[in-house]
Amino acid sequence: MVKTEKTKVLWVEDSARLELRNLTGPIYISGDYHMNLAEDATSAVRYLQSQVYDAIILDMRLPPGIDDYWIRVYQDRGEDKADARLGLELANWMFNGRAKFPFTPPAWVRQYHVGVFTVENDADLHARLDELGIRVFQHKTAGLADTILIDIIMRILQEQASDRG
Amino acid sequence: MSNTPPLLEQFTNFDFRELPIGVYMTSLDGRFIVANRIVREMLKLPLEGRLDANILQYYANPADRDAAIAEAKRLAAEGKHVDRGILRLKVAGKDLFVEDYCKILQDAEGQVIGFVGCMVDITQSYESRRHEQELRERVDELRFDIGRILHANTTTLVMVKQTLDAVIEAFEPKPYRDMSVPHAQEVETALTEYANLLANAIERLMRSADEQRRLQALTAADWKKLQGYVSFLREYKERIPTPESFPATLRKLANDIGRIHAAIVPGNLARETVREVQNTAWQLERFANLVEVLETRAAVIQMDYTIHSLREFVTTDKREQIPFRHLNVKSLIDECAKRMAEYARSLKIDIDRRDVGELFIMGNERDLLRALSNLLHNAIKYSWRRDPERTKPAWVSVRTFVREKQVHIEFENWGVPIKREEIERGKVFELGYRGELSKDRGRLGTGIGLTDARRVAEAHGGRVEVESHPAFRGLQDEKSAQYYSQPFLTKVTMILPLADGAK
Repeated sequence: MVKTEKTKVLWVEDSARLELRNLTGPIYISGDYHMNLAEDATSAVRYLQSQVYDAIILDMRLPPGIDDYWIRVYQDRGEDKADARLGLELANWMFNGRAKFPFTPPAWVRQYHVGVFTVENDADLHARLDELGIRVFQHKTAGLADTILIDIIMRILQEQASDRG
Repeated sequence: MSNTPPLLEQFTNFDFRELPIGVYMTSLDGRFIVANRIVREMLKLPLEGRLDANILQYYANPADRDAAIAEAKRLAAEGKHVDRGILRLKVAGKDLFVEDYCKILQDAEGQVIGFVGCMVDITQSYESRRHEQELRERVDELRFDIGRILHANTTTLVMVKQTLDAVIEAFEPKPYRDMSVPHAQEVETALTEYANLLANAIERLMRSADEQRRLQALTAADWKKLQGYVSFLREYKERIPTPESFPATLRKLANDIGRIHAAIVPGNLARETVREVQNTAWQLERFANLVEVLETRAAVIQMDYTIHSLREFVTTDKREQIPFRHLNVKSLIDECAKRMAEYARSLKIDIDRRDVGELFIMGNERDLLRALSNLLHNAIKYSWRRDPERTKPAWVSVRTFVREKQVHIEFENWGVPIKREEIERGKVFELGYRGELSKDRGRLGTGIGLTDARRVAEAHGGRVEVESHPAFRGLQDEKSAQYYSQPFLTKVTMILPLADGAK
């Protein structure tokens, strides 16, 4: 898998085409990024298994998509995106092996590839992200600039640069 | 030496130990004369032997004891006894609630000399009752607060909608006759036209002067950006992977071009080409803005209804229950259609009521209007546009019929599916549940519409039925990933008893 010149980004977000569509404009216009959108947990896994990304922007509250495993987790947790926190489950799958998803996570993915972008901002979530080693976090609020995705990507890339020393 | 009054001495040898409830006797000042094992266990007293304890020391509030004695004396003077009461005691620092049945003991002159009674530990049930009562009060307070907040938000939404209407009115010339959201195909055609006009204008600007003058007008970086923007405008459908983002992205682009235009140093480029870039960028930005504002307006109308319906729901129990009366189903449906008219219009959806008959039911008008409006609102909200060519508008249909003395009020729409298991498992009726496929395209919802409709129907001796199946015969394989991507016909029917004596 050869990296192109453009920064490859995966945005895992079920509202990307709708409520948050204003945020994608600067990404597309700049021409510096190749961005894929995954609108549920199943699609996120498929993208992660098929491509290498420089940055993954991850929402916490996601629908499951069509994969039986994610549907089951979603159902077991009360069929509510907020309670199911499938974004966190995806991070668990990628980094600590706690998720019981029966596929190996992609070998290339590291904590420094991920930035969490979510409406949640509670101590429990921060504790879990700390435990997972994910350091880039952005609270999703109404007052954000439309360039926020580029800001998050920059922070992820800085994180990688400092981690790689 | 015992201080027990002589009259009570005779009781001290009584063996109450085997009785299954707490039995006790105290002097007037509260000293225990007798307490059986249950009372001793409750108060953590020695289980055997004489007692050296006073019930007063167990009162959580000693003043309660004084009040109890005063009340006992008053009742004794009237020849009555103390009835059942709940005592709050403290044992080893913990609350002990006992249900106390107590009689006064009097001497020959009628003077109160003590009490005999029995007590049952009700701490657990009392605490849970008290907790339940506290929760009930809290819920009531919250409902009041939520009602008030929702009311305030509804008022804000009225302001937002009126402002949006005024903004839309100010768009001249108007590309659309009404304020409905244009069809995606229509938007794309217009965007492509505006994008090409802008790309042409930028290209003309770039050819309008030699390199030296161009660099006096703008920096090399700005020219490079403009060059890139021309390609983007020509290929925007390939560059933006999601059509929903076309207007927002092109608006941003046009705005950027406007900023570059504002930086042009005058006198270096042909004036008419500069103006043409400004005009075409403005046209594209204006059109994209209009589309976004129209979509926002439709979302605000929907939010307004959602908040209104939530407010109705949380305050239902607060309202006085009015007796059922004869109601004409046709009038109810007409009123619901009136309430939903603006919302339906904003989405270009017709409400077809051709098969609604004059049928009568007994019911609560307000509750039924709320429940039926919710069902109609859902039918509109979850509709897809059937006709990409826009030769006719999309529609939802409402029809009524009578079967076995039951009035069926059926709402049918064409669009978002409801999964079979969601219907079979009754998930769609659960409070707060929103259909798995219902949340696409930013549809708002609270998950109370169907729950409330069923409650209202049941309160009227009726029920609600839901069915959803593919609109076409083509794809019937439920395991196919595409199965739920096709349009479904969904029918939600409220079934209510026909009023006695009605036709």
